[in-house]
Amino acid sequence: MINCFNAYRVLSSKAFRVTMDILSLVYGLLVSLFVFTFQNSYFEHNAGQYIDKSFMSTETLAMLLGITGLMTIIYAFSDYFLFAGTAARHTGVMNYLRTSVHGEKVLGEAVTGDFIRTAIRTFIALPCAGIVSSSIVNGRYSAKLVLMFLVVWGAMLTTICISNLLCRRFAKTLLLMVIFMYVVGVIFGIFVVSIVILTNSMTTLQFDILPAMIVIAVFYAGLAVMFFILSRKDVIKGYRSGFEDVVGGK
Amino acid sequence: MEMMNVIEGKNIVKKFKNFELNVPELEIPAGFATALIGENGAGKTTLLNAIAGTRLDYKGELKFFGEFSDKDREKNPEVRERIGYTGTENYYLPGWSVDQVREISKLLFAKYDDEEFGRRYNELAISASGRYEGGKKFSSLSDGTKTKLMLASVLARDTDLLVMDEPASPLDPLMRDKLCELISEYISSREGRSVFFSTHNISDMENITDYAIIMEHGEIVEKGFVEDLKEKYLLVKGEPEDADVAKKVLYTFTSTKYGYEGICLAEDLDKLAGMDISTETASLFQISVAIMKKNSRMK
Repeated sequence: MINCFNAYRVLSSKAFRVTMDILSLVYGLLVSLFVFTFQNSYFEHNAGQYIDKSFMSTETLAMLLGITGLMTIIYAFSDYFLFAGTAARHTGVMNYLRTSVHGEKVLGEAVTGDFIRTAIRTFIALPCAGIVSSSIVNGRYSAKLVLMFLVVWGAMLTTICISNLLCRRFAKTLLLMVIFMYVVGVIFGIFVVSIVILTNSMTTLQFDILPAMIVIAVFYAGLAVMFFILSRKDVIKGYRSGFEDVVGGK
Repeated sequence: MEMMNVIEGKNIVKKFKNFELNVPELEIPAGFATALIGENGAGKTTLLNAIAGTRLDYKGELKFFGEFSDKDREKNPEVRERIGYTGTENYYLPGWSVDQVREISKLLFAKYDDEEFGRRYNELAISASGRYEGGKKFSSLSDGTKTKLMLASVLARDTDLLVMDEPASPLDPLMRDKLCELISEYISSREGRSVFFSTHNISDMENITDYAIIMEHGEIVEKGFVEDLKEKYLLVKGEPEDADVAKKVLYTFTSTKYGYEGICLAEDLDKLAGMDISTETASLFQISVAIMKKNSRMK
């Protein structure tokens, strides 16, 4: 893992890494702010009625999903312009890597390092910030809440990996990139709506949603890893194809 | 004593839509500076890319240092560690900074010496201000400075063979002279060290060139040590009245009202018997142009 982080650090720009770290921090602060603001109004609104304090208000959820969707798009955009998307678009460019036997390995490790770092950034910003804030507001810790945040985090990470795969492979122009950003937003929306429908249905049917949420969280984790592997293979495939389309014929 | 070759190639073929690189035999002698000369589109970069391993879609065999095949080059890190390559374009990502180039070099090559890079950075005056500018992006550098950066990073490695694609092209005359000095130092620093470079600047690189290979239309049309080529081809000067006859014999022909001159094969001198001629040693530039003209499709 140290090699992955080292390769990622070397192949990405410091400005890119610092910007994404700051944006992730801002994202985490916004998550906390929405939880504090809307969860409190949720309790006030429902004063006198029985409410499950461990769960979230609709407003909180809506704001969280909105900002999460936006962050997903930002992650995909930044990858396209500043990291592996650049490598995918300019596969013929990195001849310096090709002069070494280790070039492919270093590139692959950098892409893996980026995935791990994105996972950590988003984990700190969403589940950690959300769970801590919610626990403070609700006055107690809730397994349901933890799982809910983990599920949304899984959906976010999966969407980022899918968007990386699509953009690295197909987004050859800025216009296509913008179009794909809408696609990314739709994909995330589909994931989220599926979660909401499933949990609402189970609540209506008075099933315990905890086991289902565990399964969904694991499912999304697996999906994210799968799409990451596909995306990494794509980057390596593009790198290898550069051995055949180097400018030549002089 | 049999000459050792640092690179040997057999039946190297690469087909493009309207062009074919076809080199049945290639020998680059070890311990010398070899120049690959040819007009635009001759196949120089394609051949160098095949040797450096940045292009793998060719047919044929290559042998390095007398013992390693091109398959070994792909699998055995030791082979690539011994080969340094600089290209004309598509070398570094445009957004990479000088610091990133150093860090990437450390990851890619076991024998990369960062202190040596720093020394070369100063020696080649890569920064106009004289101070180290690690944050400077590759895309913001001039073409000459980009070449200097490539040279610094490749010379910071412990290699036995340098493969350079037109290293002199973007350089000013002072830096070209420095390049010749660097090549000379590199070769003399350890036995068996060799340099193989392509060039359009034959005049500037002539004093460092020991062996020359001339290419046209993807094929090698002439090769040999420069001293041998200078014995094989002569610069002939003669009287204007003999111009018509001489024109048919000479590879290149320039005439004025005072006389003519051109490059001629030494063995064809007898065809000019009876004429008032003088012969001189031709420069590598004159010989190369003559051979390229003879084989060129350019009218």
